[in-house]
Parts: sequence; C-alpha cells; structure tokens
Amino acid sequence: MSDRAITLERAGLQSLVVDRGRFGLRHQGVGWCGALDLRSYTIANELVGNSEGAAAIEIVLGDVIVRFETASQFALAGADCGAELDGVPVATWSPHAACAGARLILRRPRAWMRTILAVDGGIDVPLVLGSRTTDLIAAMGGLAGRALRAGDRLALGPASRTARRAPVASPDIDCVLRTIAQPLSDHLWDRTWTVGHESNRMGYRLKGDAMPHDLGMLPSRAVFPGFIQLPPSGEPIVLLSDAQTTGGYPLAGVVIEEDLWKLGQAPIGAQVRFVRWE
Amino acid sequence: MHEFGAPNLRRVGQSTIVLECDDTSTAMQQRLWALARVARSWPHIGEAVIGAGNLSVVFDGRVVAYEALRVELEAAWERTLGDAVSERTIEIVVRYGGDEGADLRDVAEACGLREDEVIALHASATYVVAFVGFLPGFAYLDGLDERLRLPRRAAPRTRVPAGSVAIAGAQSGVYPFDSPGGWHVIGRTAQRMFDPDREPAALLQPGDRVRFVPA
Repeated sequence: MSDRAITLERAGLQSLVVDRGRFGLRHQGVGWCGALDLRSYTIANELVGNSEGAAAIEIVLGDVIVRFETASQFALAGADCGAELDGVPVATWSPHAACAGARLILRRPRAWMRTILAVDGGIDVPLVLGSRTTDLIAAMGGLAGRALRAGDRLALGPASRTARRAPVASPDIDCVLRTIAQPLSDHLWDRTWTVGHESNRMGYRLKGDAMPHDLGMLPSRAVFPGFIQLPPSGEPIVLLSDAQTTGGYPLAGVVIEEDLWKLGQAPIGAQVRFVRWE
Repeated sequence: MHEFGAPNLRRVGQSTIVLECDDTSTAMQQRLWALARVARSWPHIGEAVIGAGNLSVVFDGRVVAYEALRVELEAAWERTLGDAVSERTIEIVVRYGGDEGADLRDVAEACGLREDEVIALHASATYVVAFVGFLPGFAYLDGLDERLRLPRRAAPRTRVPAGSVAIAGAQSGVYPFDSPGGWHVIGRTAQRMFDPDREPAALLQPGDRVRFVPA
C-alpha cells in the first residue's frame, strides 16, 4: 500500500482520470472512454517511466492547480498551459521532479485543447471492468465515475523503477484527418469542415457545405471511435472515445486511429479536412 | 427450418470486419449470438458486436491478416447452428404514463388506440433480447406488437431519464442511464439495468426473454 497522492486544488473545466480505454465489452454496450488524445497520453506516461496503461489525468483548457502530497516525477503532454511548479516554469513534453508539497499551476493554453498530466506510479483508482478510465455516461471508473472537483485527493501507485523517456519535441498539428473511404465519402473530400458547438467526448459534429441525403436510418450496427456517421443533414459526426457502441446512420468514412488525437486537440470552431487514405 | 442467405463480409476501416445478412429474424440473431460468442474466444479478436442482422469484429492487424480472418469467420459461420432463446424470462415492473411516460398520449394517438390499450399491448408481449448496444446495458428487444410500431421521434430528446421504457420501430428498450434518445418514452422502471459490480454487468443478455409488468 502506497500513501503517495496528489490533490486537486483547482479542477478546471473538465478533468478526468483516463487510461487507454475499457476494451472488449462493446457487446454489452460499454464504450472505450479512453484518453481523447492517446498520443499525448502515451508520451506522458513514457516520460515518467509508467507502465503502458497507467492512469493519468486529462485536463480540458488548463486552469488547474495540483498539489503533490509526496515527492513525485510528473510530465505534461498536449496543450501547453504555461505551467509553473512553485513559480518555476516547467516545459511540456518533458519529465520533471516535484517535492512533497509542491504546487503545479496550469493556465489556459493559447492553442490546443487538452493536456495530459502523468505522475509516476499512475493514478491509483480501482479497476472497473478492466480499466481505470472514466465513463461519464455510466458513471463508472475514474474517481466515482465523475469529472474531478477541487479538493479531490488521488492516490498514486508505487513509484516506477522503469527507465524514463527523454523529452520529445512538440508534435505539429495540421487538422488533416487521413480517412478510409466508404461509398458515401464523396460528401467529405475537397471542403473544409468546422468543429461545431455540440462536439464532446462522444463525437465531433462538423459544420460546413454539407449535402443532405435521404438514406434515413439503416439497421443498427456496431460503431467505433473514428467512424464518421452521416445524419440526414449531411453534416458528418466523427465518433470519439465515449461513442455509443451501435448506431444507425450511414457510414461516410473511417478516420485512421493515428489521426484521432488531432480531434482531441481541435477546439470548437477549428477547421478540419479529410484526405483519402489507402 | 429458417433459410439463411449467404452473408456478406467486408472490411470497414483499419481493423473491423462486418458480416451482414439482409435478415433480422430471431433465427438470424440466434446464429449471430453463437458466432459472436465463438469469435470472442479467439485471441486476436478485441470486440465482437452484434447489431440487427450483422456482426462487427475488431481484430488485431499485427496478429492476423484481414483475408485469413475473413476465411476463419466464414468457416465459423458455416458450422454455427445458433444459440437457443433462453428459458428464463425477466420481468420488468413499469409505471406507465404520466410524467414518467411522457409520450404515452402521443403514441396512443398516432396508433389510433387508447392509452390503456397501448399499455395492455406493450405489457402482454414476450420480448427477446436481439442484441445489446448503444449504452451500457441497453437491450434491443424484439417482439413489439405490430399495432405499436412507429418511426422514431422527429426530434430526439437531449435527455431521456434513466429507467425510461421506450418503443421505436419494431422494438422496445429501457434506457439504463440518462442520455439523449429518439425513442417514444411510455413509462419508467426502477430496475437497475447495468451494474459494473454484477456479473454480467448488463441485466439483459442476448437471447433472454423479457416481459413488462404494469406497476
């Protein structure tokens, strides 16, 4: 039993305990609900030497204060929130050491949406159906199945002994989504789409020069993160981590796994394009 | 004896195979339940999800090639007879109408029935779980009386309360959690449809028989 812990003094807009996801139960209606930017999640864990699948915190638009109850290694990846540890700037995409009692302040980022905070040992919440990630709809996983609040204390696993990864350069983001074509994909190409207001962890609704269709609903079938659904309005919905497990809208294409993180970092109003990927 | 057409198999995206038939009969679903159960036991399969007359399988492309898995699935389909409909019947107690069944009046009007006739028809049928999907523990129930079949609501609700008992098309279902939804809500149950501490977590499993009992 480890008494290592962190406490959130400010929780921001929406901070969630996440891991890669809750897999193998979509036939029971259970979504994956993993980190929206899996790329940043993976890098942050590697930077502190965590085992693959350790739970971290996904923060939306910064504005978070974390107090380290015990000495810890930590790393931030994703949106650069101008973070400071006891007043000293700390770089994103790089591992850092915090003393017991140190306070980490994240401000609102100038670009990008989400920041992953990984702490060595990982966030130690109970496994629920094989995962620690938060499922907001079923109110399970994470901390009591909900977004984190100010005052929440999160236990950490035992400090890791594995080698830490060296700092990495911040990846470029281009909002070009490589997409595997489907019969209806002609609706997608050669135009720019704007991330709409009704976008969330279930899916991003895109607005633009849409072509309505009258195909209506099809027999229900499995859908997965990356699937692009086409409701009758013709405005595509790209499904993300918290997507429902079945749906009836026609499929307009599938965004490849390697590019889904870009949507996790695209704010409302961002412009995105789809390009054909073979 | 049910005549099955040959299924169509195709790849969707990087790592999903969809097997589908133009057939959403219970006999077809029974065969899909069995095929999904078999596929889930294969080590290179991450998910095997049934829909209405279709099965989607997510595979690990580092371990198995699409063509090899396609052949494997076709062979499994040929040998699969189908799982039986369960002997057990699960009863779900429903308070119909009022605030908890906000669409009961509209459903009655659209079907040319009285509200008590809608309740009687909904509660007299025995349903079979065709598949589970959408939300954790949401069971798609086949067996809705033909007189109650309506298209989904023109405008989906942004929030349907947990426990809502609803109908759409040829199916009925119970919303396990607060969620958006486009089905017609005719009542509510206090039954917990999904509990991660229970095994299995979803109360209703494919093949289960279900009856609704007015409170």
